[in-house]
Amino acid sequence: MTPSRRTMLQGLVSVPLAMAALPAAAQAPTAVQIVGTGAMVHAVRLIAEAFMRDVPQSIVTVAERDSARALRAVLYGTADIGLFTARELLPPGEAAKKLAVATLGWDAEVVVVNRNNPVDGISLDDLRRIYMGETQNWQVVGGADHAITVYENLPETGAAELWENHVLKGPRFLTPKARVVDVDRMQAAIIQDPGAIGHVSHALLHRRVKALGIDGVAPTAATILDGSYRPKVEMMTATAAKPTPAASAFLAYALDPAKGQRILATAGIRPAQ
Amino acid sequence: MNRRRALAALAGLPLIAGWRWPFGNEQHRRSSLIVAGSGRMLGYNREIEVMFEKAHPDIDMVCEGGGSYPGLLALKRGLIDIAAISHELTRQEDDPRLHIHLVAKDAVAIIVNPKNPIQSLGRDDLRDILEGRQANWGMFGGGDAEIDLIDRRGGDPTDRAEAVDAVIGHHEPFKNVETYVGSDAEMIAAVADNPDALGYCGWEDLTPDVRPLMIGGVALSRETMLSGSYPFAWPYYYVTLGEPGPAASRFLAFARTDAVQSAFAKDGLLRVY
Repeated sequence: MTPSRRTMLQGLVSVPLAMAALPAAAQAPTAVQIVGTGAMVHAVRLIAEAFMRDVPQSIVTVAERDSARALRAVLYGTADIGLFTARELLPPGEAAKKLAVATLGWDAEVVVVNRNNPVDGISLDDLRRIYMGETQNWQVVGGADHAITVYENLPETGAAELWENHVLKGPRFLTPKARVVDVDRMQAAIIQDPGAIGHVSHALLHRRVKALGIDGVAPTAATILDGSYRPKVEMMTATAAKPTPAASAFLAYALDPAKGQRILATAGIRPAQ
Repeated sequence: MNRRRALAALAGLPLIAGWRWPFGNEQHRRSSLIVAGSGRMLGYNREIEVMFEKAHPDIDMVCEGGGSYPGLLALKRGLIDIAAISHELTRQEDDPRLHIHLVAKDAVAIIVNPKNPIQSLGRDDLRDILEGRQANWGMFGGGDAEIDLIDRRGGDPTDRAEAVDAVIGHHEPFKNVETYVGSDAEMIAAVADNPDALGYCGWEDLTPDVRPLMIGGVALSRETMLSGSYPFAWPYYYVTLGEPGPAASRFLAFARTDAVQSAFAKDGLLRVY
């Protein structure tokens, strides 16, 4: 059993205990501060809102920062829960023992193009060349003779961080011609621009853009569920090794199949439970 | 704008640094604490200062404004103990040495007359209206009527007009303003009297005479402001360089107490503890 799975099971066992640890409505509010990355933030915000409606006087704040900064906030004690997507960012050695990690769910970062683009799939290598600016015309990858417009997410976001780690990899750089925008503007532009390419979390996918297969795997609910569509994204939480009762209660709620996990599924994320 | 503020604040830094001198002679008995930064937070900081010095008479506290960015610069140069920051720190502003403590949140409501059929505007829609590119409700699904934009008179650094600028990334005077008003109460009265009006006010000042718009489909509520789903909400942070010193630690603990959080709530902020 992996540590994360064990942590999740411990979390589930402790649900009633953690909920009991919450103060009654008449007492002082219970606060949980969450800091985290990318599409996780979108989904966890929905869970936080449901938690605040279900647990009177509870306060859950969620701020968006990249994975490394989220983990740092937990280590410094300035956040109760960090949301992150790359295990390699966990601190080495003794510092790692200060954190408890759980898997909340699984997401996939989906390559998107204009719906009229005849290309249905692309290889990871071709994708890398497009994002580096080496390939600049769709004809090279089997499409029409049309210039490629590369869209990238804002540098503060988990999506840009993920692309840097999983697609560009190593000492390679994003083409300076890339248009760097937020995810809403990216999808709005791709709807209009027949040469556009971008990438978004499956949870945030707009129905008027076309998702491409990667290395022969189509982006369907099934391939995202079974993890064969890549880059897949493990959505993890980190807390102090001994989290506060409020943070434990929130995590238990987030991992509850009837509560937080159901919300994750409606947000397009494969629940861990 | 930021550059101008930074220069002004930097000019004041020797003065701020000099404040340490009067306390230096009796350091064995007294300690000092300098908090500087966000103009929007200054009034709240001064309110806490009075409460804090009463509870901790051995600490002499000084509060100054100057702006979030100059405050951060002063902190990084060791000239102040705590920087007050009223926005999410970017990756460029952040630094592994910074400890970022959330102490409150605030939000602005974008308001229309209850007779207006529009329920929701996107952030880009709102930017287009405020910057004069769109001026008719018909463009957003409403009736064919001019949008009567109502703005607050400028000049007050704590004014929410500045907050609206900050959250939508707009730094020029609004275009096509129909009416200027001097307070949130006047803003609400003007919007309540005009079925074509568009204005804004503090979330806590809302009355049934006006209706807050959803932004990007997200309704303004306590839960969505705290979770961050509602986009026109912002954090108030106290930031330290490394582990806070003894006086700063006591101040940060004090800021989390029910007394301070209740005072924030009384002032119309969202408590986070």
